Order: sequence, then structure tokens, then C-alpha cells
Amino acid sequence: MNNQELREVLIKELGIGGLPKEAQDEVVGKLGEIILKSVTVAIFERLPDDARKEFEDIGKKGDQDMMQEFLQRYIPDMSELMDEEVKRTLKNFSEGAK
Amino acid sequence: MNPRETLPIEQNPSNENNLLIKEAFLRAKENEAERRGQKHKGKPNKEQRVYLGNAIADARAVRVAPGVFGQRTANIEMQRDMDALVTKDVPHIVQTKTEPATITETNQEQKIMEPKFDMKTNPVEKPKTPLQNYSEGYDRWVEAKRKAAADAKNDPTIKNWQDEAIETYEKSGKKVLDAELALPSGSINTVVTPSPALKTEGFHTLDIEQAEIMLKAQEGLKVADGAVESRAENAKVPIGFLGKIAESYNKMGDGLRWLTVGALVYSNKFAPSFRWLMVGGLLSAAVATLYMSASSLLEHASVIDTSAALATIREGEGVTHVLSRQLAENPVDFGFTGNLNDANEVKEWSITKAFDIAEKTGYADTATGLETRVASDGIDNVAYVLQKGPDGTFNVVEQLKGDDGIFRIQDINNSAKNAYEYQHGTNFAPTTETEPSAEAPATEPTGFTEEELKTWKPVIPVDGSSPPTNLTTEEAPVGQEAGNPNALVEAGAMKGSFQYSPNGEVVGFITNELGASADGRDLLNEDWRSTVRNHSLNGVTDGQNISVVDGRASKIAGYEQVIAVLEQDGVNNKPKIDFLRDQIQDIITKTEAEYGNVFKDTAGTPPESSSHINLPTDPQALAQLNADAAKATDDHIKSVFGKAGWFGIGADNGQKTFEAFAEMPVSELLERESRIPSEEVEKVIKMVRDANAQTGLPLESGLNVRDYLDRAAAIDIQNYKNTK
Repeated sequence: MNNQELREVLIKELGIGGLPKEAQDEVVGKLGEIILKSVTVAIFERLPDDARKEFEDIGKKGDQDMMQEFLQRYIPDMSELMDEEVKRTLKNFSEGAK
Repeated sequence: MNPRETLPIEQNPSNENNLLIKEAFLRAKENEAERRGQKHKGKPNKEQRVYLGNAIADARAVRVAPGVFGQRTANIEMQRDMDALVTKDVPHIVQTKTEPATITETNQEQKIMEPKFDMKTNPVEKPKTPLQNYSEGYDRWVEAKRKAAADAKNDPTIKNWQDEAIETYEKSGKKVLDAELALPSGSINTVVTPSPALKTEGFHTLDIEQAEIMLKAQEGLKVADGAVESRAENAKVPIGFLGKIAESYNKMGDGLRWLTVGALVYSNKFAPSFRWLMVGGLLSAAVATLYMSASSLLEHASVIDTSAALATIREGEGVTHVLSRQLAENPVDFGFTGNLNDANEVKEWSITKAFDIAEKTGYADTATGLETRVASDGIDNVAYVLQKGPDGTFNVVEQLKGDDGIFRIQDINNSAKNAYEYQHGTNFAPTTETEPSAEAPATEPTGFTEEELKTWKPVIPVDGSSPPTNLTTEEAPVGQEAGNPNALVEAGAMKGSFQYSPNGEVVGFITNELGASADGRDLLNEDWRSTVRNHSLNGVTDGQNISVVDGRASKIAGYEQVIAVLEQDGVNNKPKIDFLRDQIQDIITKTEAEYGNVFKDTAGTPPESSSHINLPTDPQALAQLNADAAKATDDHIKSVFGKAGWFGIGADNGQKTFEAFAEMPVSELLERESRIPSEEVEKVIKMVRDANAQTGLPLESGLNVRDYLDRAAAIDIQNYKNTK
């Protein structure tokens, strides 16, 4: 699935096909941002308190590999977590847009 | 001679400009070599040319932002900004009128922008490192964007869709109840990068219906964002962290943002590792921006490289495949000027362009018919990243996957390349008169000129047997069958049309589909790879053999898709189906004779449970049945959706809501079952599943939703008539 196909599918499912392209981009862009933030919040919800310090330490080092390893250690089911947050966000969007 | 043996820069040594450029690039290469602790002198050999290519790529990278802040192909907007900023301020990059050192797209484009190294201008000054330039260029870019964002508040040329929507809505006499519709999220409001799309140039004024949709969508965003913010407080997310996430995300180019959203929403379309990379990379970038300097961040942010993901070789692929994939992914960025809504046009363009680029960069050679393929050692480990410079030139940069799973530009010597690259020869058929190669699947031609590609049509039978002669696709015998013999058959990724001998016999199937058309792995035994390895032929690598078998399995899967469509076509397609079944058996027989027992026993066997549909063969009766079926489908849609539209607006009946799904392939609809928690999606899926249960019409038929429902209705009506 390329970007164009993704675009068409998402626009259809979000019901914004009637909008100009630029407006569609804005809606989808912001929706993606909210999904990412939702995933981030969910990760924090799962992190035990003592892991937050480690999280900050890794951030200070800026070590990408350590961050990936850290996330995998605490969120082994990241893919499922993402799925849940996508569902949650789209559900909230749909309800708000009714 | 394989053009890869010479770089364009060396093709005309008498050209003063070329020599100048060559000198500049050699200097750039030496600088790179010094940094890497190596030194190359004299005329570059093949190894050095690869290395030189890396140096060129790095030199170009000086003018663009890396990683999350500027995907080479995705973030064109930022590239342009960076070009302007860095080109202006970095002394060793200047504008010249010399010929570009890499492949020239068009002369016109050369005249527009041709940034080059000019060693005459700055022969001594040591260039800054790419990282230095990234950092400085990026800082200037951010500053410019911030200024633009600040200016935008008072800039009449910047439009706000929400203001536009409210204004339009209230002009109609209605009143927006919530005057504070602006998104409440602090993080969203902290985004400093205004979308260039919001500029008034070409601005489309919203009509009342669009204004309503926009307002509702904004309300949906507001609700969704508010829910996240309230959870963030409870989860004790560090203050400002979500803002950093939003900032990193919004610094991506539009193409990469779409890819990110797609990767999140459509998990089944993207590898888990890719989704991980997107989220992990953004998280790391966000954490880092809380604590790190911009220059350090830039170095780490380059991990997010979707171009490598798209450019990575998969099994059975050649370089042209990955080039085509990258072109199709970002057609506009790479120069496509046709109809973006026409997927076929985009695809055909991407294939043509890919072969053109491969030819010019030495990965394919029309004269010898050779194309660079990648054997098993390189699968998933090597990427051929396509780049287009602001001067319109194309370049292919090879990247290798490191132990950490990250693709990087590395020194690649000949011995290393020999471990995974090989030259694949194919006697492709530019016309139907040329006999296809026994070795290569007819759907994988190589070494095309652009003109040849336009006219190329592979013909089956393939895999060794001679193509049929005296064929016609233009004058199929009248009355031979009820359907249109010249109609294009579309099934999944494969499409084509049948050929007939003068006496009406089906003798060929033409497909313009290049590359693997369907996943045929399910047709192969689990140990098929080891079986192939045990049947290694003279001097042929395992990788080649595996690719051939994989390609043939893929072809069979494609034919199966065509057969599925033909079986549901409502006309007498038996001659065509029989022909394809014979072809499948021939491919299996020939392949197993060469490579052992690789196919499952069930491969190529018609499923016993396939539904038998006894539709009328009389055209008039069939037309009436189809009309009745269409009306039945319309009535059913109205009964399911009532009069509510998608947002409850702008729809006078349920048809409008359904239209969003009408042309979606059934397979795609079902794939997102449980993905999108939408009442409308669930309703459409239920309609399709009910139709399947009622009629047995296979869900894998390749039909879109509307056609599927119409076909099922026709079957249902006919079955009812048959039982009366």
C-alpha cells in the first residue's frame, strides 16, 4: 500500500472525501499526531515508576538502540498497544465528529 | 559493455565541465576517504566508484536534512528550504553551469538549479563535515520556520481552515455553538511548522457542506486530543513531552507523515519492526529534545529512514523492483505529472522510470539484457535508495543493514557485493514475436528501453515452450464466447487479456504486469528452499534458483486469481480457465523437473468447494439479471444505511455513505475488520459476509465491494429462479 492508497482509504474512512486536499491533509495529519501521542501516553501508563528514571537517563544519552531495547523490555506487546490506541483514537474522533 | 563499468562523469573525458566535476567528486571522495581512514588515488575502480557514489551521496546530503527532519525523498519541502539556506551560506557549494555529475533528468531542469562542488572557487578550504552542515542548516531552517509561523498570524496569505469553515457556516445563517472550536491541545498549538498547503495560492473556498464536514472533523479531533491530554496527566507524562512528540512528527514531510499514520493504522500492511522504528524513533527524538543539543539530536534522528525500508531488496527482486517501489511511493516528488488518481498510470510510469534509471545507473543494460539481481544473502540486508537532487538528477545509493538493524551507507567492496549481487540475463520479449526466455518468468523483463517497455507484452505459454503464432487479440472470433474476448481481465495485482488463434482457440494470455503479481508461497512446500538448493544447476547460484521458483509460484498464484475472476464472470469462460489451468500444470511440471518437488500436491488443483454458478449465457437474459441484481443491491444498501450520511450531513440516502466503500476491493475491506471501529465499516463488512454466506461467492475473487454485492445478488436471484 503506497501513500496514495493510504490517503484514499483513510479519507474514505474518516468521511472527509468532500474536503479540499489541503484540508484533508490537515485533518489526517493532526489525527496521526494524536494517535502518536496516545501511544506515548499508553507507554507511560505501562511504565513502572522506577523505570521512568531509566527512561530519562537513556534520553539524556540519546542512545537510540538503548531506547528501543528499553521499550521492548517494558512493552513487549508494542504492536498490540499501538492497535489499541489507534482504535481508541479513531473511536473518539468518530464520536466527536457525529 | 555493462554501463555500470563507466560512470556518466567518465563517459566524455574531453568535456571540460565533466573533467571539472570529476575532479570535484574525486576531491570529495578523498575527503570522505580521509574521514574513513582510507585513501584512493587515480582512476576509480569498481569498488572506488561505489565508494565515490557514497561520497556523492554524502555531499548531496550536506544540502538536505537527514532522518526524521528530512527524508531524502519524502521531505522535499524541507530539502528545498535547506538547499536555499545551506547553498547560500556554505562556501564550498556553489551554483555552476557545468553538466551535472550524475544522471541528467532533462536539460531544462539543469538550467534551473545545478549546485556543484567547485574546487576552483574553493580549492583549499576544507569542507565542513556533513554533521556540521546538518546542524547549522537545520538550525537556520528551524529559525526560518519559526519566523514564518510568527509572521503567519498577521499574514493574509495564510488561511486557517477552521476560521474558513466557521465563517462559511455562519454566513449561511447558522450559528456555531462552540465558539472555542480551536483545538485545545497545547501540544498541537505549539507546533511551529505551518503547513505550506494552507497558503492562499490555489486556495479552495469551502462551501457550506464542506464547512460542516470540516467543523465536525475538527470537533472529532478536539475530542480525541482532549482524551489523550487528560490521560497524560494521570499517567504523569513529563511536562512538554507530548509537545515534543507532536513537534517531531510535524517536522516530517507530508509523505512521511502519511506513511507514519498508515503504519499505525494498518498494522497488517507494515512489518512490526517498521512500526517499532517509527514510534521508537519519534519517542527517542522527543526524549532527546528535552535533554540534547540540536546537533546531537540530528545525528541520532537519522535512524528513521523510510527510504531504506522501501528500498530494501526482498526475495526475488532486482534493483528495478525497489526503484519502481520508491517511485510509486512518492510519484510527485520523483517527477510524475500524470493523474495521481489513476493507480495504473502511476504504476506504469514507475516501472518505465525505474528501468530508465537502472539503465543509466548501470543496474540494467539493454544491450546485454543483464540486470542486477540480489541473491539470498542480500535479501532484507541491502537497500538501493533512490535519490533525486534538486537539479533533477537521479542517483542510487546502496545501503547495508548493520548489526543493529539500521541501514547505513557503508563502504562496499567488490567481494562483498559479489556475495549478494549477480547479473541476471533475460531475453525479454519486446514484441510477441520474440520467444521468451526459458529461464526467466515472462512477467519479469529486464533491460528495456523506454520505448520498448511501452510496447512490451509478455506472452504465455512461457518457461520454455514457443509462443503461439498467428495470434490475434484484436479480432477474436465472434460467437466463440459470450463475453468480450478483448476485455482486460483484472484480478488482484494481475491483469491481462487473452489471445486467440484464427480458429478461435485460446492460445495465450497477455499481461503487462511486471514483477511478482501475487504471493505464491502458500503453493510451495515448507522445505522448498532446501529442495531447490539440493538441485543446484551448473554454476547457478542458489539465489537465482530460489528466485526462479519463487517467481513461478507467484505467477501461478496470479493465474489462480484470474481464474477466480473468470469463474465469477457470469459468462462461459471455460476455454480461458482451461487454458490457464493447463499453463499452471505445465509450470509445475517443468519447475519440479528442474528443481525437485517444491510444490504442494494441492498446488494447481481446482478447489472442490468452489461455488458453481449457473448464470444465463444469453446476453439479453444476463443483462436483465444484472440490472435486477443492481437494483436489489441498491435497495439493500438503502435499507442498511437509511438516510444517514457519514457525518449525518450532506446525504439524502444511504447510497452516499456506501459510495465510500463501493470501489474498495473486498479483500481490503476485510483486512481492516476490527481495525477501524466504525459503524459504517462494520455494516459494509456484514453485507459482504452475508452475501458470501448466502451465495458462496468467494471473498478472494478480486472484486470490489459494489461488484461483489451485485454479483452475489445476481447469483442469489438466479438460484431462486432455478429452484422455482
